[in-house]
Amino acid sequence: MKRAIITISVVIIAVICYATYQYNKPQQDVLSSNSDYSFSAIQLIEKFNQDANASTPLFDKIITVSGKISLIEESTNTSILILNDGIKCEIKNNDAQQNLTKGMSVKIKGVFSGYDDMFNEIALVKCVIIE
Amino acid sequence: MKHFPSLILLLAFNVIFAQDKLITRTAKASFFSETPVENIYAENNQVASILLLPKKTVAFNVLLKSFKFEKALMEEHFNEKYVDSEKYPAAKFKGTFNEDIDLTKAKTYANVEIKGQMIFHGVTKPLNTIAEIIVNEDKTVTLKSKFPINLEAYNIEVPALVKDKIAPEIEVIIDATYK
Repeated sequence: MKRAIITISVVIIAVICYATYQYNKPQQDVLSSNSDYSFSAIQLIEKFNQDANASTPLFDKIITVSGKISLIEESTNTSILILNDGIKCEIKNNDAQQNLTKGMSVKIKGVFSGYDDMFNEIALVKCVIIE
Repeated sequence: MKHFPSLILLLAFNVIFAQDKLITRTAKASFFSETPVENIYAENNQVASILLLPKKTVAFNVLLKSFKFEKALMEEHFNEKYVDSEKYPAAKFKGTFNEDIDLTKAKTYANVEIKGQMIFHGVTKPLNTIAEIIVNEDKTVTLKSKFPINLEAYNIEVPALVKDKIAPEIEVIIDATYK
């Protein structure tokens, strides 16, 4: 009887620990994760031009992309960098202020969040600049 | 040289058009679900929007996967269980208003009625809201609005197990500054 109670308690504690861990699971850390895909900006844009369903396999994947900054749009907490007129990357403002200028070549790592058909841009969030 | 005046005219037109179409890629959409058990807040700082003053239309494109939550698990559940963002990646709104907005004077238009259609989770529904449109000193334009979204109306089912954690009506706040 005693043994059964101990076993059940252990199981219950394990379940609670697991649930708490899941509930408090930290946000994905893009900087320290390996990227799932690596593209040049031109390659990635071309991929979307050729295939309307290019989004599907890329959702939530970490993508490294290198290209040229064609526009910077600043906002209160985050800024948007546009690479090669077709990829928009959301970055935190303290990252954005590292002397980034239009025309610069950069390498960015971020999480794919979809294709914005309003401006025809490939969207990456939680981006970090690696080069 | 003969073409010179028309060239100037063309340039002038370009300037006018450039001012007519106001765009932003950094509009903010946030929502709040409040229940006694749990409060859920999420925001998206990457909302695309176009405001056409001469045509008096405004459009928003919100990528659902760009919403950020306090907890990673909430973000996962939001995308996978509720809005099914791989199947329906974006929420879209298109609306019209009647106010004449004068870009040359800094002014606040407090009660602009916007009538439109919202596409969300594969469902199209009419959505009317009141917005505040502000022409700022630096000639940028800010649009702010707040409206409720009823989850059931957009076929979003909340399982009985978590019903007391998620409000049936979610308040959405839009804050866009156009350059």
